[in-house]
Amino acid sequence: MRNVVLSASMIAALLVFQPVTGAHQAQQTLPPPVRTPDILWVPTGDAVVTGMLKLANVTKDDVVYDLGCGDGKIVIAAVQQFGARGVGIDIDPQRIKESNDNAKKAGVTDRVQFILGDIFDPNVKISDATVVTLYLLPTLNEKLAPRLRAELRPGTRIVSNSFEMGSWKPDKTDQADGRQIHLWFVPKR
Amino acid sequence: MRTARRHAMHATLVTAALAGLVLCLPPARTLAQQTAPPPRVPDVIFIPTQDPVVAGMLKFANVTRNDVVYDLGCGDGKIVIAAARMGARGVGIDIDPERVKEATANAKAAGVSDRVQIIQGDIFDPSVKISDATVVTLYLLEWMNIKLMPRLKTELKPGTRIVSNTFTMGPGWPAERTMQVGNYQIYGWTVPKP
Repeated sequence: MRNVVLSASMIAALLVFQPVTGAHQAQQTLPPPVRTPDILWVPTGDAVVTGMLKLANVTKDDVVYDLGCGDGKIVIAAVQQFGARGVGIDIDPQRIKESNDNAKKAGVTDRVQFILGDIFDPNVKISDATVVTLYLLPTLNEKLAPRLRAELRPGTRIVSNSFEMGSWKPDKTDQADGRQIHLWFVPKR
Repeated sequence: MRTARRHAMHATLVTAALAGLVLCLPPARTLAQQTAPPPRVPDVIFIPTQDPVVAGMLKFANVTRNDVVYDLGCGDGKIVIAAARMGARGVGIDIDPERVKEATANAKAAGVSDRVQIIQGDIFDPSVKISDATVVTLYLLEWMNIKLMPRLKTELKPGTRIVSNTFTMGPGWPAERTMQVGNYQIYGWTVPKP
């Protein structure tokens, strides 16, 4: 019951202070979510991020797409640590806002772009990528595989944290900070 | 112990309902949003919709197909079923035969019976073995976590990961990691060397 009382008073407080809080107004300006996300965001640890980008052999000539980019940390690391360009896609407007804020803080806005969109929507283009990073789920990787194979250029590297991609076996598997990381090369069509 | 869990859930529901009333939203709708997001109609066959919070917990625990995930108090089996869908093996233990029946049926419906085992038993009973686990998931209550701690520390292999939804293990064993997954706080421990 203590929870109930606390919540009621907190909500009352919110109602009272709503008109004067800028934060609330900022939240209202966020675009609506594209649809209910399939997964909730669990960030990738820093050592794993670096390990994934190293496994993909990212250089300054690469364009790294993170599909389900969360707070943008992989894309930002690709710029900061490897001099690449980065594009992050996320279905959650809150995450896109966070990503843009983090890119600004990191001073890399000129080399990153964050797009609000559904990674399964064919209108959300991914064909510019030379590297794609994933931390989804095995089922979602599997669902995404046809898009990756059809739309990415042959030779594009795909790196997935923890999860494989069904019957499309990785070309290489490595470890980073106790996590398995998998690498695929998009084959010739 | 199921009653205790239900009380906790009941409190959450009451809070949600109250929030709905205060904000003048239709309470029924608020309740539905609080309990679980409606599963999206799959646009591809054979790809099951995952419960986002469960998947988040399992990702937090770094579950892969090499793992054996024990859910202590497994309810309808959704955590072990999700673990099996991630390629791991899952063992669910529940004291309530009705839940065991339900979880077994759900595992069958999900097509993961070969990688999931549901056991009827008391998680505090030392004859109910848990030592095969590489990951243990908990959604009990703090006092139950504390009561379970000696078992976890002595019977699980060093390096086994323990993940608890919402509840800590008390000040006696502070969590090594914690993370917000959706509306839930998740805590993580690793079993130390004896």
